[in-house]
Amino acid sequence: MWKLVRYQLRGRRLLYNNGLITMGALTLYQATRFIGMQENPAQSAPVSMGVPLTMAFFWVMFYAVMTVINIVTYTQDLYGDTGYLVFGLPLRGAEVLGSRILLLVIDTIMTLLGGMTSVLVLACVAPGLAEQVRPYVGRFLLTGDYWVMCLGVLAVIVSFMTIMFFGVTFGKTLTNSKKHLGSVFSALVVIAVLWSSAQLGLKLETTFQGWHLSLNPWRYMPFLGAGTQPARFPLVSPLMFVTLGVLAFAATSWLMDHKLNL
Amino acid sequence: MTDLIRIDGLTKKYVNTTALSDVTFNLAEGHIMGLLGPNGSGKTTLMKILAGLVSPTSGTVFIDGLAPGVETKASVSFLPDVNHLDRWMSVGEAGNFYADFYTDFDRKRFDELLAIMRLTADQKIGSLSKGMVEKARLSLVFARRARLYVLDEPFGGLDPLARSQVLDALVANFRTDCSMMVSTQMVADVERFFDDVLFLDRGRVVLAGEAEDLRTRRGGSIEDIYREVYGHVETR
Repeated sequence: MWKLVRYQLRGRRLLYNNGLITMGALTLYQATRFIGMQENPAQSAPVSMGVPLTMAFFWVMFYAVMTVINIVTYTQDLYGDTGYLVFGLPLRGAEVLGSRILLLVIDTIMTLLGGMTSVLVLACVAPGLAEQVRPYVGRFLLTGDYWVMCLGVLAVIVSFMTIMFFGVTFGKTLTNSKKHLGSVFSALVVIAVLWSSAQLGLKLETTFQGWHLSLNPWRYMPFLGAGTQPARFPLVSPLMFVTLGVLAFAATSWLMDHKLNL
Repeated sequence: MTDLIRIDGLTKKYVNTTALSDVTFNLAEGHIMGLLGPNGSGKTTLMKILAGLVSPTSGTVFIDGLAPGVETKASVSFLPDVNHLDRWMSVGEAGNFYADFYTDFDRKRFDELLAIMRLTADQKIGSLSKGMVEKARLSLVFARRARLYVLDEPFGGLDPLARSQVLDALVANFRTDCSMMVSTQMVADVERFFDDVLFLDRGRVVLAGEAEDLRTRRGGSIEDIYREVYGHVETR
């Protein structure tokens, strides 16, 4: 599985290089905007905070693009010619799928670290009122609750992607279709699973109202609206979604091993 | 002599087509089988099933006593009829990839085959001509010391000289402990290598047997029999 991850990373090196160079250039551009603002010390905090928020938006876009590429390359492998290479390997379906999930985790970690670097760079050159943020940034990034929140989000994203992989694989294998019918089925399966999980999640949240997670990721960001008060995060529906992700992983691996139709 | 491939009542159905219907045959160890038939006769589907890339609808398939799966993928060297290599890879990287995943991949043999094909390891797959990609793919497939070679139209993009080189390499490297199944439209060029022949039409076996026996019984070459069976000139 690790060998497959290594090979897929090698295939994406150009994409990663271009993506990270672009993000680095955007960070520097935002930093120059901050430097420009330093000439006006009365710059309002909201305007100054807009710069790192724009940067955060760029990182979210970067991650969204990488996620879409993950799905597209997997679909291409199932429907296109390169699938003969990947699915012809003496590897179990779980290993092939596991390599995709690992790639997604690597993308997430890369985005997280890249985003943190951008924030640190911008914090160092923050002007005016935004300068007040500077002492808090380091402590915020080291907050345990912040990382618990990140792990939770990662688990939900991985589960979501596994459900997407399941939909694509289901469409290609069980329908026994060579092309278009499989794609339509894939989309329908994904929509059906996500809609059902949303309904089930809502029901579970109503049933287990008292079950939630109290986290305080913004403990060291007193200037934010949330302040030092712990925030309540849903617990039951994300757990249900992760369980669904695990089931989707098992089902997809089984389909790859027993019902492959390239 | 043991049978390396045993197929009984193999059927493969897609949504509205039957690609293979009740196909039954065996392939002995050390034999080369020619898989012949017009376009859409089910050759590629049969080969994909042997490569573990398509699951059968019904019937049994055994390769060296095992149903197609992870274990057989390790011992079957499959050459699809399309370029399955990533364009970003160099020829050498493709070799590394095969070496990483297939324990039977022989690096020395790969280098020898590249030299015969006049390819170098640093050439990018994306920058090669169709014929050169074909040579690179054949080098990868034959560099494996597999039990079964499954080649789907292996000579499609090759010029006559390259075809002759590939055939020489194929024969020189063929071992008696392995078997080979080749589908081709260039029957005249390769029929001399066939020990057995299987004619498919619309997913059914229409004629099968030992090549020499068929030639004697029908009084013609395999290409002549092909014309006779399918009733039109399909060969090149």
